Amino acid sequence: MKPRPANRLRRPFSRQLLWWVVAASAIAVPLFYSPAGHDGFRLPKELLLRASAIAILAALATMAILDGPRALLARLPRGKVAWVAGGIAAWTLITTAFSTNRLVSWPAVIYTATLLAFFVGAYVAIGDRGAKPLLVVALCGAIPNALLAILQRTAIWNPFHLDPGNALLTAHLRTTALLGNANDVGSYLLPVAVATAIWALVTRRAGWWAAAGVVVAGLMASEALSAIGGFFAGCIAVMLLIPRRGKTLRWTAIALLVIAAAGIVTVGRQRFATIGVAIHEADYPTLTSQRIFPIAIAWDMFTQRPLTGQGPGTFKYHYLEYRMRFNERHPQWIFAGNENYAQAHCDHLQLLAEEGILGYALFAAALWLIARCARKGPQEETRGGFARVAALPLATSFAVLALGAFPLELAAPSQTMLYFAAAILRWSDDDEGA
Amino acid sequence: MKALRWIGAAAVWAVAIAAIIPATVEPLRCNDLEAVVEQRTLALNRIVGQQLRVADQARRNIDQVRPCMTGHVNRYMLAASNARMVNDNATAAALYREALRYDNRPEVYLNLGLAESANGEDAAAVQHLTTACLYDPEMVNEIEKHHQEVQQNVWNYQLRMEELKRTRR
Repeated sequence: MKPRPANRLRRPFSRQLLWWVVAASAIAVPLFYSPAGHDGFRLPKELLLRASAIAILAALATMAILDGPRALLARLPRGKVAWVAGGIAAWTLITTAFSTNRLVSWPAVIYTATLLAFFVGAYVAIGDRGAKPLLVVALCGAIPNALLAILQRTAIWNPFHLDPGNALLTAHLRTTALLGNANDVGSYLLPVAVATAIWALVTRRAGWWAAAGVVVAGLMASEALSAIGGFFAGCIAVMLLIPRRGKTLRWTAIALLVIAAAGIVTVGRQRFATIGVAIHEADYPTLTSQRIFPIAIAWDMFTQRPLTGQGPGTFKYHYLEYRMRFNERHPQWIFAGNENYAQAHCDHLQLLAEEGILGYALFAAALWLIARCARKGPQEETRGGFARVAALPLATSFAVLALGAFPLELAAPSQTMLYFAAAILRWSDDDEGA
Repeated sequence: MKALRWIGAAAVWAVAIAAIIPATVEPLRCNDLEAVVEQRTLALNRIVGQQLRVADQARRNIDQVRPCMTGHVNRYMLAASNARMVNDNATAAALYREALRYDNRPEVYLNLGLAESANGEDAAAVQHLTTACLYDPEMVNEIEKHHQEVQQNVWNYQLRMEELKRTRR
């Protein structure tokens, strides 16, 4: 039996318990779905995340009771991380107080509180762990989803009996994995793909390359252009951090970049064919796949109330009213894209619309806090080494993803990003404190 | 002292488990129930004749979905649809109005207008039906009473948009 290293202390039960709860949540949420439910995927995942948040708060309280309050306080986020997390909590409450529809904003407050509780729990729990268990836990949820996405996309197997005779159900729409929607699959797999590829780059071990390969293949199978674009941006960010002498690493990163570029070209080729014509005819609805409407309306909502926004969760409530006003300004488009959008399909603009300029500034500050942990230098198979290399690619890829998707509104992608963000921030803080 | 700490920790977990039930388990049950009631409602809509059986099942659907409604527009619409099956258009209209507090969807306005129309609230019906059809003109095909009036409102709106298009060229 391998002797335990002398400097590895036995973790107290309370810290073990917290890690189990965080790990169980990170594994279960992406895999959980309700086959008999009206909403089989998004709502069940959000509800399970809510249950996890309650369990995490109980685990944190247990730590305070069993080990003393000081033991817990010493491990909580501090400095800028605490200020931004606290700012997000406070601003969500303020914007709800000033919301144009508080009935709709209160569920958004609960969702934000759920995500913050998960982040704090992960931040405390991950302090005791290394990069390997961090990634193993994330992969437990990601690999089944990636494999299922690949099987669905290639029409080899689909456990969900979608209407086979329906020609409108394209291969893209059938690629649901256990997330319910191909774009949700892409949004969820993106941070795991970036983190695993980076760890594979750092360790250069075949097992990690294989795992990264499966997750990246699942990401490509989702054909989610925003997520693949985010992966491309993450690869560029990795290139910036590789030292000049790292030839092997540089070529490997270039290979990843080529895969991402090939993904974009393959997925987007049909759209590229129509883009030229759409630009020439100034046909913005076709150019943006009808997304011009929710995007423009989100901007209108923001300009109406730039400081506090319309209120958390109110985008879909106001959509119809603002769309009618938009029609008055652009009568040439009154018959185009009259789908009633629940999301802006651009989290940057949706944040501006719902929580105003300060809400968006807090989101930008959170991304900056993660990105600033990036450092150029030798790749080490340590927690600090992972944090230094993964910080900028994860922040960049998420920012790009949020340009064309709404990961902040979805439980699984948000939770996964917060999971890695907590690790990066905690390990960077520990490095700075050491 | 150590035993007290463990009792305290156990008490915290008991409270957490008790909190998880209304926060998670109950909404999951409601999510499953919504799917069942939706299937039943669609089936009832296809039944011709057998009014007593339809009314009985419709009332049961309303009773089952009512505790799960708060904040869920689709559930208000399910309850309202079942209320209309038992000719309780006043209740249906009230439920659609409640749904509009959470989401301004054109289909809610359409169904509200139809319920108000059946309930004799003609002015409000035309207003809400027009709102729905200005957003999605194809909804006019689902209107029987007030069809001409709403169609005229939609045409007037479209003419105004054409005029705006011309003046902006």
